[in-house]
Amino acid sequence: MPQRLGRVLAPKVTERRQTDEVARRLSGLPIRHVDWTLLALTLFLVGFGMLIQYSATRDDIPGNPTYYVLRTSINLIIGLVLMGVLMSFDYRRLKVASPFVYGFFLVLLAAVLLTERVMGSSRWISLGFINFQPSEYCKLVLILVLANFFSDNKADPDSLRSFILPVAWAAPYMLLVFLQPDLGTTLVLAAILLGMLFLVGCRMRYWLGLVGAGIMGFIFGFVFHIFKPYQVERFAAFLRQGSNIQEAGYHLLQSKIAIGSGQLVGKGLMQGTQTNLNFIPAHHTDFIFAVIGEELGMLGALLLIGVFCLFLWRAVRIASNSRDFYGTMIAFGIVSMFAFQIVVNIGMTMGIMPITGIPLPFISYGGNNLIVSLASVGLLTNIQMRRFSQI
Amino acid sequence: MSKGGKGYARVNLAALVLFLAFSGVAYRLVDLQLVKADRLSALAEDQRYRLADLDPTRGCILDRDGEVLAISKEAYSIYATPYLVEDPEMAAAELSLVLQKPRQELEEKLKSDGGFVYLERKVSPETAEEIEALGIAGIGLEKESKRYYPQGSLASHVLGYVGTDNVGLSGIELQYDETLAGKEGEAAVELDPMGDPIPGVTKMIERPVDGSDIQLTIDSQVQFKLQEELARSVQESGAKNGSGLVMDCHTGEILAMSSWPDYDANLFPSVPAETARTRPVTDAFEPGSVLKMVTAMAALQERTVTPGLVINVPRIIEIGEYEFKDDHPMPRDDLTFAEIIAYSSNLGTIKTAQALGKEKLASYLEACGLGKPTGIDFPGEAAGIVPDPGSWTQTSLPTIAIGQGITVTPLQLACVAAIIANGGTRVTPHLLLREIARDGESVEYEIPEGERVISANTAASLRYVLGEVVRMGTGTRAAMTLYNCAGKTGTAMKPDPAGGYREAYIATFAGMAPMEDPKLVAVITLDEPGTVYGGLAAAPCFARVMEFALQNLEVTPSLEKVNTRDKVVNEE
Repeated sequence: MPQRLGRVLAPKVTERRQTDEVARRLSGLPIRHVDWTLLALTLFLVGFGMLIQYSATRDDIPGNPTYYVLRTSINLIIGLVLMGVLMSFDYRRLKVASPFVYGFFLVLLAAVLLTERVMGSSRWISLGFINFQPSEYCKLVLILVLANFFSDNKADPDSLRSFILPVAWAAPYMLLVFLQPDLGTTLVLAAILLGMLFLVGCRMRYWLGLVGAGIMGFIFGFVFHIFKPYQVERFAAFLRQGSNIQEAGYHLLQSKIAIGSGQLVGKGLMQGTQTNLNFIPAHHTDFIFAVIGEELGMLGALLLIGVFCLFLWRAVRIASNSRDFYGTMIAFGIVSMFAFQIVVNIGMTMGIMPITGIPLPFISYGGNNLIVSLASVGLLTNIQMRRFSQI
Repeated sequence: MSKGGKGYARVNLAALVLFLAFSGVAYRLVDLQLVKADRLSALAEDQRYRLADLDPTRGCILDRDGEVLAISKEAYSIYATPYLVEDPEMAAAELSLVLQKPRQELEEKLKSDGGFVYLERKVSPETAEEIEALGIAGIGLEKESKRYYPQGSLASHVLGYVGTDNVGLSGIELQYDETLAGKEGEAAVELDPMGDPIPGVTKMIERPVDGSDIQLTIDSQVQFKLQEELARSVQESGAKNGSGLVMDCHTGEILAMSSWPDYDANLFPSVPAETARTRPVTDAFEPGSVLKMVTAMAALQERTVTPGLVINVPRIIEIGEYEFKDDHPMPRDDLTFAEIIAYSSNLGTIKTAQALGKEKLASYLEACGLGKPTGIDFPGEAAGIVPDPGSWTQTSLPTIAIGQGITVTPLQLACVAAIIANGGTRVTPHLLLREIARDGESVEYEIPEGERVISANTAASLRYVLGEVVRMGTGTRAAMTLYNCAGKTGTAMKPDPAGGYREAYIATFAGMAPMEDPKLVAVITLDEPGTVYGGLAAAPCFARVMEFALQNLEVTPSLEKVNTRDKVVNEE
């Protein structure tokens, strides 16, 4: 096994496989090895999110306080079904399929660009009952193809080849998503790529070079006006906090005010004045953490962050327990994706991260994101429950 | 194993990065929710609640009969939020029709930067309704109150003016601003993110207390007559301006006070400052012969002379290098003191003053309240200038005795006349009758104890002497039909700002009636009239106002006619 992590992690399993105890476990069904803690944490997060969504949106549509929560429930069911599907077969079967799925979504991403723009960007394909947002699913697809590449890669992980090819896999997705324009998801894709490259053990100078190139690209984008004005404004609002009461700066200030005014224990669920009076922008989507900060205070917010930490810890645990390197890499990809989204989203509402349209996993309103998050949990569970299974 | 170690190192490093990131987020959370919480909470309250001042209703100003002189009416100010106005040209055109304002001016305002601009302050509710009916986005109405003076120019000088922010700026409005204004209340209005108040969630913090009404001593009828007669006299005499007042000689209540030219109080901001002066209170001038009242008062009280004392009046008195002469011939060389005053003989008066001495004259000037404010409840009172006796030169006594080289206000002259009229007591002139709070409780003006200046006998003698002025002297034109009156004319040369005096006069008549038991005093002053003698210009005005005022007060006409019009010795 050329993969470092494979060498590091796989032997433990190999050694254990020798034991009788392991042999006994092998005889059981995969369902016996499901990580119930992870599932419980997931359900807690979704429930928590729906509660906050209800609190934030119950006055948004007059006479229909459950509008958003009902839609989230439908998405939750779809997500749970997809999760179940992704648990039902051995994840290793995805190895064969992933390049095709990758290609399929490449076509979808290109197709999305041809659709009519909604609120300045083309992200959605309307499927009637739901607006399908390919870029959300691309995150998971990219994780799958990269994990596929790393686990099959025979070359030294230090080599340039082992660095260039993953970048080449990721680049088309990132470009097409960026063109929508969806800077947030582009950054999530970049985080997945960088996280997996880092963990697989690519040469540090390549890795730093890639980060550097990304930063250069950003500066280039600013200088040559590739970014949309609102993207520039959001970034400026982050850099010059307080001085800029443009729209983005105003949103950021309102978000901070909401969180700050929540203080230790918050104003109570449904009691957030900044939330209910619509001071907080996008209070059920990107800025939902501000609602939590205001209504549940520091204790509620820390509880949520704690649950996220537990969740990520379970995911890392799954990565290290995986029977093969493929599973490890999938799990790490998912960890990278969630960790980046959580830190950037929460950080953004408090002014320590720039404002990018990245939702808070499980909590923010948004069907595609919820479905993908649940699907990711499905994959994690799949990896965990089949860590003793032969294919 | 080195490679494997690197692998673990990467995992550990990634875990460390994650740990740091979450720590950073948690730290920031603590920072915002505990450390900066107070400031951010305050910001939240601030933007959600706007403290709105609740304006109390300003009290009315009433005349002594309860007639409303000033009242606060509901009014609306029109403002614009320029960036919300879609089509400034159209809007300006529509608004200019309703507001009667130039289109260009409105258009400029609508195109200005900034989020708030007043288009017009304090329009009537009807106009406001019309504006609202136009339904132009970005145009708003703000409820305010507007001061309205239903009687127009009546007593406008006395009433004064209220600024746009409902603060009294002059006159009674300023003097009793605190009483009239009431106490501002405060309410917290909950706002939506657009900064618009959310209806129904106003939190009353403190209720406003409406201002009390102020009832003045002014009698609208007399005030009207005074203004009418002042205007007539000024026009007939060709004077530059005039002023006058009528005062109750016992209480100091001012029944009427005005200057001419007068103005409509509703048009105040556009009234020239010169016109808005309340001259009887604010303008001190050299009174001339009117001040012989004080000289006579001192001489009679000090028993230097008696009314019947015959005094030889020389043709000329030389004091140092100065020569004093009478400016009109006296009928005889030997005149009684009453005749000296009646004919307004300068030399006779000077001779009397010399006999009296400067200390005594000075002490009576002081006792009459000259050289200091009378204490009237009106802002901006002039004190007048009485040279300090220590600095008098040898010409000071003779000149001051005949009313030059000293300045007084018409109000001070009225006070001097009142001492004579009421039997010897100095009164404090005042305009306030009572304050009436909203709950109907009223606080009367407390008349301060007057200071006795001369005895009642002296006052009676003086009234006789001043009655002779009207009967046969310089003041025959002050004679009335029904009442005997007493008074003194004055024709003072006006000082030249360049030094010395110039050929311009101020004609004054200060008097009281009925002579035998005076009720009222009045002072009329005409500035630079065409006719030189005050007796000619100011006295008729005095007579008409005084007679009207007495009749208005239903004062019994004098039974024994002494110097009524038919008894006057007319030498012309």
